[in-house]
Amino acid sequence: MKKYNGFYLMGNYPDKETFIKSAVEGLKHFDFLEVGIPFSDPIADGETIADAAQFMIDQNIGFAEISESIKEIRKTSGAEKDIYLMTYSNIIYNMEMQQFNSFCIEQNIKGLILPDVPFCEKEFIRALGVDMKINIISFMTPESSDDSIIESAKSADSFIYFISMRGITGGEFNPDTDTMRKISLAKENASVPVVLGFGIRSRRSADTAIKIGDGFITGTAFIESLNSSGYNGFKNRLQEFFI
Amino acid sequence: MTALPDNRGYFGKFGGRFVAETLIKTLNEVEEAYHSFMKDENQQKKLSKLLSDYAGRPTPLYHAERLSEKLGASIYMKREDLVHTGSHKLNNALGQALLTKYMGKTRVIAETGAGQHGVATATCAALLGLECEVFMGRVDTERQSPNVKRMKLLGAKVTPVDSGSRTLKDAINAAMRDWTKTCQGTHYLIGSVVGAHPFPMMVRDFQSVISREAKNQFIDAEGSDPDYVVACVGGGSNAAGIFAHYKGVDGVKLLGVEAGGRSSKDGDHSAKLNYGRPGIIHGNHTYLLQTREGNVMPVHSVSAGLDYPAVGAEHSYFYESGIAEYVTCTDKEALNAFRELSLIEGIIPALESSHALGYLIENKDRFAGKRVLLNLSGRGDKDMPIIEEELGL
Repeated sequence: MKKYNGFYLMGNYPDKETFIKSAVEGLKHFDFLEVGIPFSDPIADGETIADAAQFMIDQNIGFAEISESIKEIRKTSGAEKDIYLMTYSNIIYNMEMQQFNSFCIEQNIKGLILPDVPFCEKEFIRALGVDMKINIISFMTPESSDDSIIESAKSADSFIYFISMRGITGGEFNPDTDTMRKISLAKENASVPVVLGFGIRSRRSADTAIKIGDGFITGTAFIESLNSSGYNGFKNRLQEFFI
Repeated sequence: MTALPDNRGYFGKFGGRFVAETLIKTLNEVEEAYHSFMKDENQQKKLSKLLSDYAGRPTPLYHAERLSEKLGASIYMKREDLVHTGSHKLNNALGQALLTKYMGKTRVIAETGAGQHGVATATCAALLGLECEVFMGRVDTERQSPNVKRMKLLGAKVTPVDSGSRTLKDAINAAMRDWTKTCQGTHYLIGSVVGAHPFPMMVRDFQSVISREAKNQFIDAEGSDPDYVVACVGGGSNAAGIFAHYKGVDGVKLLGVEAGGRSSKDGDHSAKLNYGRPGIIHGNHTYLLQTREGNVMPVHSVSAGLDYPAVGAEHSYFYESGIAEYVTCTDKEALNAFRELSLIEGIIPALESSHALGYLIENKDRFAGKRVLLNLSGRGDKDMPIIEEELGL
């Protein structure tokens, strides 16, 4: 399967201009972008991303502002690159659904990555009125049973987000033998890429992820670089992954 | 017990399992172990022996004569303040701590607001030889400092939480983050009827001992059921416990009292059923105080145990279906009630329970001539630092 690699940026973080520039630059190398919409209680995120979310909320920046930036990104990055929205269920719950659907379809938003929506609650979110063209990404984890991996793999759309470790974003990437077996099982049963995320912060871990999965997602590392040295920090980090 | 939640963990449209996929297997295991634990005669014997010999159950039903006379009603108090460690929280902590051992896990984590659940969990961990870590918002560690010392004395690690509003909701976030990493050997001993299924059901069931006892005690005392059953509601565990055996009983009106705080303005209170709307937080679909975009709003209550932006899913169901009514009591009214009960009954109530009492006192016309069962969910010693400040003692 063709490799499918993605990167995460918090929408409009640390400011609109840096976010758009970083997104456009990143999409030259990555196949997809995950745009974070801030939520006040991000239980799947470690300190780095949670602090970034709080920073945006303190400035009153949310989906309304971030969606404008996505339009800008779409003007420059080709349609062959995918964009996903990454947020928590309560943000989607509160969307004006008709408007949200129109935006996603017009801007070719491929899907939603909602870390507090497990497979068993996907229907609840769909029932809020999320358009069928917008996929709700399935997660798998080292804790998933073989049966649930097979069931979930068969119905997955776009890609499968395989959370490579127990814990939250920003930890260490080190999948054990049983996790590797589960990743293979997912690959055997899925018709979409099985992409590994959580803890991938270096070229080395990305290479491992590509070897055992169909791609990788990295996020916390980029937010850290933006925090320490802004856009240049991001660009340097990007080069570490691709050059 | 009622048939709800359904097998997906829903009370009507409220409840569910909005957690990381990583936790689903563990939640299934907890649910399965819980059902088997409840059917296991040996385990049930252990639990009831601990509830009686260790916790001090059954707790008395006390007829508060002077208060009754003053309010022109017949007021009975279910004395959960007399449970070992000073509140109803031990009922659930004992049940879940035994369940932890039953599942073969060796570590418990807990969140705490007022510190009562933290103390109850630390106590059970000491009793059963479990490792224990309690997450507590930094603000709460300061305003409930006596309980922090008690937890440490009991051998628990107390981890102050500095994220967000640094109160109960952030303590829950921190505990959930820890659990996502440690779920294989750790049980998250949730202290209220909140969180993902099966927690709202389990905590309610363990707390239902309150109304199982009170129902018979009240009939022995008055020859009938009460007209009103009143309890404060933060997450809603003591209310769930005292409502459990009165749900759907003819002539019994269930009243939950939320923290009205300083005013009904956003950020000034913690009254989600009165002023909030449904949302998804901490694993369940329930009423929540939130911004238009869906971010959780800052909340306030003089009582750390009620200072929480959401409520257990079953209360949202009770609210929408009219099974219970939810009202508010302000900080000031609760503080007055705190002083009043101390003065005329010689009972220093927890600030949380003072909200139930405060509503009663402020609305005495509503209760004139009625028989009232009030859940006195905890004692107020832990509140002394804040009382010193608020009442200028």
